[in-house]
Parts: sequence; structure tokens; C-alpha cells
Amino acid sequence: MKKVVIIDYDVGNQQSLKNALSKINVKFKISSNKEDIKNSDIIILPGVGSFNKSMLNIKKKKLYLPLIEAFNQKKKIIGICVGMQLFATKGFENGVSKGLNFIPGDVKIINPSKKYKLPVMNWFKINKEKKDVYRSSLKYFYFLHSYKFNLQNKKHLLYSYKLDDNLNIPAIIKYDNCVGIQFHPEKSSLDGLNLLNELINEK
Amino acid sequence: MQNLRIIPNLEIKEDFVVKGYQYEGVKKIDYPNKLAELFYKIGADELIFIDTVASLYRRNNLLEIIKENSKNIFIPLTVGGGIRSLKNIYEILRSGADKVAINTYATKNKKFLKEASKEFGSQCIVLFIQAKLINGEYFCLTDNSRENSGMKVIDWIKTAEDLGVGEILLSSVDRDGTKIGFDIPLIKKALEISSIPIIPHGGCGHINDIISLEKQTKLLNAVSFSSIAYEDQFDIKVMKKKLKSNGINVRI
Repeated sequence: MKKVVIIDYDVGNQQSLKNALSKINVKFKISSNKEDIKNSDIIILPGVGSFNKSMLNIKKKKLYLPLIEAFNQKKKIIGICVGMQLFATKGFENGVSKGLNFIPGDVKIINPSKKYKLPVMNWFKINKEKKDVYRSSLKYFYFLHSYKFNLQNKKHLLYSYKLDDNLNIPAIIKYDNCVGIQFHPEKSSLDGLNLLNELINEK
Repeated sequence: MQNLRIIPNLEIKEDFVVKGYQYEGVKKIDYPNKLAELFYKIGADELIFIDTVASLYRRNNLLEIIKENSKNIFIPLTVGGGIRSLKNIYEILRSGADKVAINTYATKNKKFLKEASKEFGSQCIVLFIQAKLINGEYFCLTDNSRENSGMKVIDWIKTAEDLGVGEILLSSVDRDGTKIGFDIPLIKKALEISSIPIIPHGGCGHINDIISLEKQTKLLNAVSFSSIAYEDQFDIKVMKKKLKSNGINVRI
């Protein structure tokens, strides 16, 4: 049994994620203890809230170095929504702040437009940017965000979605064993549960 | 591309889903858990639960219902009714909801919307408006439409957006339970002046009401309804197929 730890850093609401993992029979621990991070096989970094507040909390809870260490050991780290955005080099929400720098890029607000309303709060079909990455059928997922991850290198992009004809937004990104998911798999019906299951149980 | 979110709205009184006519004279429909699970299975994109007597009793009675539902339903859940403190919001989220819808208390304490959006994030705070046309202008009613706040809908939408709410549930009291179609002028106006998503509710009696609303507005990305969801032949899958064949994007 893989040891899964959900990082507890006082951001947002984790109940849905807990319910989703329980539904797919994954045992997990919710912790901000560095020993738990060290002993884990899979780290989930959830997130609802702002980039800068999240980074501040990570540092306040002394999670910064343990996370860097886990990344360097190529441990699997799954970031969800803001948790994914923290993988960036820099974030521009409420001023500029440094991210975890796991995946090169920055996080900036989606340009306002007359063609859509913000925050993005909707289901979108995601599109493959690479060949057959996951076995699960990945179709519609629930997105909830106003900021987007601008990747420095397209090779880290696995899936994207179209907010508008001319606007592709990264949906799943990956670098080594670090996987960032912009949408909320825990709120995306069966497709979401299947993806979580595959991410946690894949070799 | 934007999809139209299909969102059943469950109005709950004590342990039952109820439905009234213009928010009055409610009758019992069924158990909330049974209906919520059914709607999830047939393809609802989100669900809304409103405790219709919470404002009166000053407490939201839905925690247990949400706790049970959120174990098996994996789409966004919004809970409203009687919310009057950050602690209320915290409890509702901890029971498994994703967003809260706030009406009465916010009209009396505008600062509360700002505090709530700051604490939990805009995406989590939905402004609930019960709109009624009075002498040619739309006003915001409170206390499950028993009181008139005296605030105009358009002003309140703009103010609330500045205060940081992420979405607006816009219910027409005049149309509620009537099944004669959405209040299109109201919804049109709201969509024009707001930059955040609007969820129209009230009056939907047929799939064609959704189609005609969508065709007559811009940037509509959600609709909500109650009455038609309780009809025997109701099926969201069928509804979505018909919407799709009318050129409206939906999650299928």
C-alpha cells in the first residue's frame, strides 16, 4: 500500500478531496509534519486560495525544504489547482512571490475578455498535447480559477483546455514525477475519480 | 469552449425537498439525499441546496444532508440559507460543500461578503438574489422573499462584485414555481453588467425555456431550475442531448 499524504497548510477546503480518496479506497494522512512527508510515497498538494498566501503558509509551516527534498528525490507530487500553480517559478497574485520552482513558468491572471466571465467556473473538455499519457478516459473536468500557469517549456504540457478560440490553458502539466492539475478531479464526477485512482496507483 | 452548466436547485424545509409557487405555499416532494444522488447520476453539473426556513430560525439545517451527500456525489455543491458568520461558512464547507450562497445577512452587513471572500476565496462565495419586479424595477427580497431589502438588483450585483463574490445565483420570485419561462429581461441585464458568472433560476418549465434564454442572452454559462426536475419523465441526459442539438455546448 502506497503511503499518501495530503499536505495540510491551512488553505481552503479539503473535505471534497478526502471524500474522493475515500471513495476510491485510498488510505491517506493529512499532515504538515516533515517526517510524514519524508515517509510518504505520494504527496498531494491541494489548494484553494491565493498564490502568495499559500506560499507564505508553506514557509510558516516549515514545509518548504521538505517539499524541495521530496522533489529532488523524484517522489511523486500531485498539485491540484493552486497546489499546481505553486510548482511555478513565480506567481503574480497579490504582488509577486516566488513559487516552489518545480516546473519552470509563471502564474498570471487570465486576461479579461468580453468572451468569458471570470473566475472560470465550468466544466471543460481537455485535449491531449502528448500521446496517450493516461489510460483513464479523460473528458470533462471542473475548473475553478482566475490565474493560469504559463509554462516556459511546452514539453511539460500533457493536457490543455480551450477557454476561448485563441486561449489554451494548461490543464495537466508534468515534470519528472511532479504532476500539476489545474482542475478539481475531486469535483469532476467519474472522470475525476478515475484520474485520481490512476495517478495514485500507477507504477 | 464554454458549456452551459445544468444545475438543479433543491429547496429544503426540515427534512424534505419542497417546492412552492413564488416562494409560497410549499409542498413536499421527496427526500433530499435520494433526489441529489439521482440528479448526480443522470448528469447534473452542480447541485444547489437551499434551506428555505434557515433565515427564519437563524441556522442552516443542511449540514447532515451535505455530509451524507458529499461522500457519494463528486460535483460542486452549493449550500445556502441562514448563513450569518464565517463560522457558519466554515462548518458548511467542512461538511463537504464547495460554495455557500448568501442572501439576507449580506444585505444587512455588506462587509460580510468582503470578509467571507477574503477568508475562503471568491470562488466559494455566491451571492443569492431573490429578485422581484416592483413598479418597473427589480428589487432584492430577503428572508426567503418575505421582506424587501429596498436594494435594487443591478446596484447590488455591482456592489457585491466589488466586495469579492465569485458568482451570483439570481432567482426570480415572480417566476418561481410558475413554469412560464425565465425572466429574460432580468437575466439579460444582470449578464450585461456583471463580469462574474450568473446562475439564473425561476420559471423554467420546459427545455425550450432554457434554449430561448440561451439564444437571447450572451455569456450565459449556467441555468438552474427546481419544478421541472421533479416531473416523472425528467432526465438531464435527454435535456442535454436536446440542448446540444440546438447548438448549445453542454457536458455529455
